[in-house]
Amino acid sequence: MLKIVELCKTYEDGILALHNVCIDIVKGQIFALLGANGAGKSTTINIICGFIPASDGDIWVDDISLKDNPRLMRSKIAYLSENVMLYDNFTGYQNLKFFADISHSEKRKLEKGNISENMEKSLSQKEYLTQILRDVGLQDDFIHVNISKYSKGMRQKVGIAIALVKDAPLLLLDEPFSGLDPKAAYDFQKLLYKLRNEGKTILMSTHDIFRAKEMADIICIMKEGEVVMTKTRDELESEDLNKIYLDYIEGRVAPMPLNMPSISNFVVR
Amino acid sequence: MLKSLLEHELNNLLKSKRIYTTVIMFLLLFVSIFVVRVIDYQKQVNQYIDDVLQNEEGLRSAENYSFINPRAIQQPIVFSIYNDGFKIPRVLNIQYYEPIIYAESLNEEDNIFFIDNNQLDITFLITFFLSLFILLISYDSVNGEKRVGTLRILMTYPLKRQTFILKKMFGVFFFVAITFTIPYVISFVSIIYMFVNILSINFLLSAFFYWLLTMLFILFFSLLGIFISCCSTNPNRSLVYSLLVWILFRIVLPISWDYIIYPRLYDEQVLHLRTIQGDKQYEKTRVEFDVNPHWSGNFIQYSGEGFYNSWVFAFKETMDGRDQLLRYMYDEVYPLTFEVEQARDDVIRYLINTENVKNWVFFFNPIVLFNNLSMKITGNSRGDYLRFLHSARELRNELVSLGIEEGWLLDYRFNAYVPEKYNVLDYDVLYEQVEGDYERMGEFVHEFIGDDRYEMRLPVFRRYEQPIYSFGEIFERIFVYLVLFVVSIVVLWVMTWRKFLKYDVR
Ligand SMILES: Nc1ncnc2c1ncn2[C@@H]1O[C@H](COP(=O)(O)OP(=O)(O)O)[C@@H](O)[C@H]1O
Ligand SMILES: [Mg+2]
Repeated sequence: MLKIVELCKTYEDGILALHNVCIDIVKGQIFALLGANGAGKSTTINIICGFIPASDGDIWVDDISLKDNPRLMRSKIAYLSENVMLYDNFTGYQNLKFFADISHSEKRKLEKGNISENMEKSLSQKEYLTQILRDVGLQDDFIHVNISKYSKGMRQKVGIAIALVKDAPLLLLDEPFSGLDPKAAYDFQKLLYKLRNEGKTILMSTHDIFRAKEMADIICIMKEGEVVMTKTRDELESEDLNKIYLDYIEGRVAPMPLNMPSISNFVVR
Repeated sequence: MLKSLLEHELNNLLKSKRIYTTVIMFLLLFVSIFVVRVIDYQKQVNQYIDDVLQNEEGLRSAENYSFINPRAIQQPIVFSIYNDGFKIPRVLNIQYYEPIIYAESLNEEDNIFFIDNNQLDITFLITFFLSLFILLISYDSVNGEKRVGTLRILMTYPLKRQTFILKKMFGVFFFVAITFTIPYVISFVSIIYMFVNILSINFLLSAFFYWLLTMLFILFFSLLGIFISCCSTNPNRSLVYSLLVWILFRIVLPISWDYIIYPRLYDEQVLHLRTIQGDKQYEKTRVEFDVNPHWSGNFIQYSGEGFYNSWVFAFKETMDGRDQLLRYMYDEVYPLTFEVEQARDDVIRYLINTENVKNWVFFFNPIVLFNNLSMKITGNSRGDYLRFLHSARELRNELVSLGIEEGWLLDYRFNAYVPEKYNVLDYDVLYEQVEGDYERMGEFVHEFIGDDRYEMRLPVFRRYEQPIYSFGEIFERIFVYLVLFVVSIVVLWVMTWRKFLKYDVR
């Protein structure tokens, strides 16, 4: 699904933010990028989104390469940033509708008339969008309220709804849990499970070890721009992730080799 | 695609409180300036009617030997409501063989709103307020979206970065364009409703061009605001940048032109021109004559030092002295008058050229460009003033061709009369008749001209008419500058677009 190959990033001021990052994610997984502040998690996500160019390496989503076809790549991903504020002159519904309109017309352009199936179902657009907002857990009385009155958790939900109407197979979430109260975080977590069950692939960055362990199918620890460990849920089942994490971060364990046999050759080039 | 983006942008602007207040302020200003201007225009029209009546009445009542001073009277320009333009004297006194002299328009004196440099008109509203308004709308158009995170979300859609800039540009543009166009159109309809006989093709053309120019102006400033927004990630900082740019364009550049560059060009060149012509005439007029304080007339002549001096000529013993003087004036001085007029034309043309230089040199300053172009469209530029002078001269030549100058030899006060059999009444005869008593002169001439033998012919005055410019003419006047405007917009667009390509959207 997503394959990151030897990704390197050096910022203009000479900071080496990423060094030979390799990541491989299978469809329908929740993948957690775990790392301290400044480890390079956001940089990785930003490069996938095309916000900043990579210095070296490439990214593949299915069989689309970021280098060759950045625009098509973007139709495959949906992004939710750490702090979604959205247009605060509009209601949650209006925000969603705006992005729905764009993705709808973009899709039409890319697929040359093959309209996405959801839109043309018997549901009218309004019902469809309201339904999505309900699905992500936004209370009905808030759907038509100005977004400036939303809590962070509610904005996050609208952000996810926006990502959902885009109908992209890969969701990129940058620190989605930071700043959420426990209830909102719990709701959000359930929502992500639901999405995974619907077949979405989710890449999220976090520095919350417990949540990562609880949710992720694969966890990848980053340190100073390098991937130092990648393990599946099963592999971590009996281990203490907290200890492992601290060991890596404090340099007590040598990084795992970069080319992991388990995930090579997954992507068809 | 662009349509839904645009719709959204417009909605977004409409819902913003900050912009709401500014729009209301703009509309209020528009209405109040418009009202002040309409009242002023009405006043001008009334004055015009008065002046024309007075002038024509003066001509008609010439039977009573009144002093006739034919004048060229500028019709008030309805577009002064939109752009007051260069102050064209409303009335020109036409004096035969003397330079056409100015009569001040009484119009501005009792109107506190009309200051010399920044006249309160719609053009002022546009260059001063609308430009600021546009920058206030657009200064955070890019970094504001970055701040709320929507820019990032948008950038994960397969839209091109240009499309985003287009969304912003047209959003601001349409919003401001509509805010301007609605009161503008209403103002036109009300003008047509208030002043009959205003509606003409010419009027509509000017209205159209003025509108077109405003649209270009709005487009330029929309882009400028967006460009500034791309230059900084912090909206507060870009607000400061916008204000600085505005101060540069609206205040610093025009003032440095008016008070530093322009006086240099003006002082050195214009005064030089004036002196050359003035000195020539001054030399010629320094002939000595006897002065009779009782019979004197003011001959307004141009002299080297300043503008006009009054010269007192008269005759004492005989009329010969006067005759001699007049003949001398005829042969030697009056031909120079034309040179003086020519020199004045040159000065004006020089000023027009420096104005044009201002357009070219400061072509990146849309405010100056707009100001000058709207003057050219509305018909009260310096060039139009020159045209007005020329038509006054045409009127004078017409009078001359009617033989008016002959009358002036008789007595300059009766110079509107054209005795067909003028030759009979030469000075010798006249002098004999009045026996040297000049006070009887008037009486005598009255009797004399009242005589059937002397037919009095009133010259038929043509009224001065405002030139009517065709589409082609207006277009020709502004074409080069329109191109300049469009080029600067394109350049700005490319700059903005390239800037945004490198913009860090995170
Ligand atoms: N725009 C930038 N310019 C220069 N260096 C940056 C920039 N953004 C991030 N960095 C650096 O890159 C490294 C990784 O940052 P980031 O990806 O944001 O970390 P994380 O999201 O894991 O906390 C940090 O050392 C940070 O200082
Ligand atoms: Mg981060």
